[in-house]
Amino acid sequence: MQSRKLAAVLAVILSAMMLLPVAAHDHGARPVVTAAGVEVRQAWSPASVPGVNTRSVYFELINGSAAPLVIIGAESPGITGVAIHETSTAGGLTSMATVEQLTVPPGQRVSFSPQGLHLMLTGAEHHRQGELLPLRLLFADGTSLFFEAPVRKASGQHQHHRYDTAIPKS
Amino acid sequence: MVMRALLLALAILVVAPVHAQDVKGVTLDKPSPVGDFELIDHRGEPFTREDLMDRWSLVFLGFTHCPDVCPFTLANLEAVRSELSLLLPPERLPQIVFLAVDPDRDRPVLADYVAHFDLSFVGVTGEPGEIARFAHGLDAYYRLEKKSDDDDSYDVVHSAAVAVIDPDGAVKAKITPPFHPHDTANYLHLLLRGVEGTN
Repeated sequence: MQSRKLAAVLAVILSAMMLLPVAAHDHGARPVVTAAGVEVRQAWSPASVPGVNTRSVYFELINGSAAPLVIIGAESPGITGVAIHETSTAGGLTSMATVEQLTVPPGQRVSFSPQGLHLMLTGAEHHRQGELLPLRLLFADGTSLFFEAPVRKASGQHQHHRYDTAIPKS
Repeated sequence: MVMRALLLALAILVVAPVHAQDVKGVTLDKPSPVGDFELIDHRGEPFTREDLMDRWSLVFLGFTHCPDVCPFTLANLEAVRSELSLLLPPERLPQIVFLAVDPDRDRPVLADYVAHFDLSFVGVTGEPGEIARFAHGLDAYYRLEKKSDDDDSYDVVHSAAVAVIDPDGAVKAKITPPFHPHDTANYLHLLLRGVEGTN
């Protein structure tokens, strides 16, 4: 038990050390701190196969601040393109459209979830399951928010508790 | 071609609704035969209409660089097949076919791509004209949105439905997402046994 705790602490320290260069690198460009109450939860990215350089990232963005939060984009180290995309299915056809910006009103949340809103990454290297994909959301007020999306295999809906994440919005 | 579309439209007008709970789609009273086509599967073997005969198939059309819809549909189809394996012996399970409509980007990665979801999945692609023939037979649509020669991150607009092909090589039903695995498996189980309309 003791050794497990130690391992957990070490893991936290190690991952913090690994993150530092990324955070330090970005400091000069944009303030890291966003308004209090703005947070990302349940971020993840489906594992893909080598050779496929597109990837999606899902998460929930909560605007617990008193002001509207306007997302204007996102970036990730080493990835050539990150865009906000929305999948829609109309008349039996499914397609994606770029969303230039997205406003989350105060006290609201927006869900980036499969077959709806997602961050679309292009030019991405292959990421193995269990790796953490570093991302930064960019806001219109000049602030940004760093988060990490664990890479894991997209699951079918075997379990009832998965329905929330796997069923499209429509 | 026009006549075929008209016939299929008429067939869809008289379809029986899909009754299984939470399964959206249509069952055709008169199955629509898939015409001939010549494609290549993910192992490099020919894949033609013959490969649809004498067994049920679920065919989904998409592209490997599709970041959102295709992976979830394929993961769900794997879940449907897994649920169905509780109801049917292995030899009667439908084959899952992924028709990759973006051959330039799909061909090099197709084997790894389908294996990522399930080793039993069959990925097929080929010459654009042959892809179009199979898609037409499925009454499916797709369009590559490539903006320039060096555009390598283009989207492909495509049909969301999965075609259910009967052992005579004809479209018997089309089901649309979301694919609730348990209900979809129940629906397919009834369809495969020739019993429809109840759950």
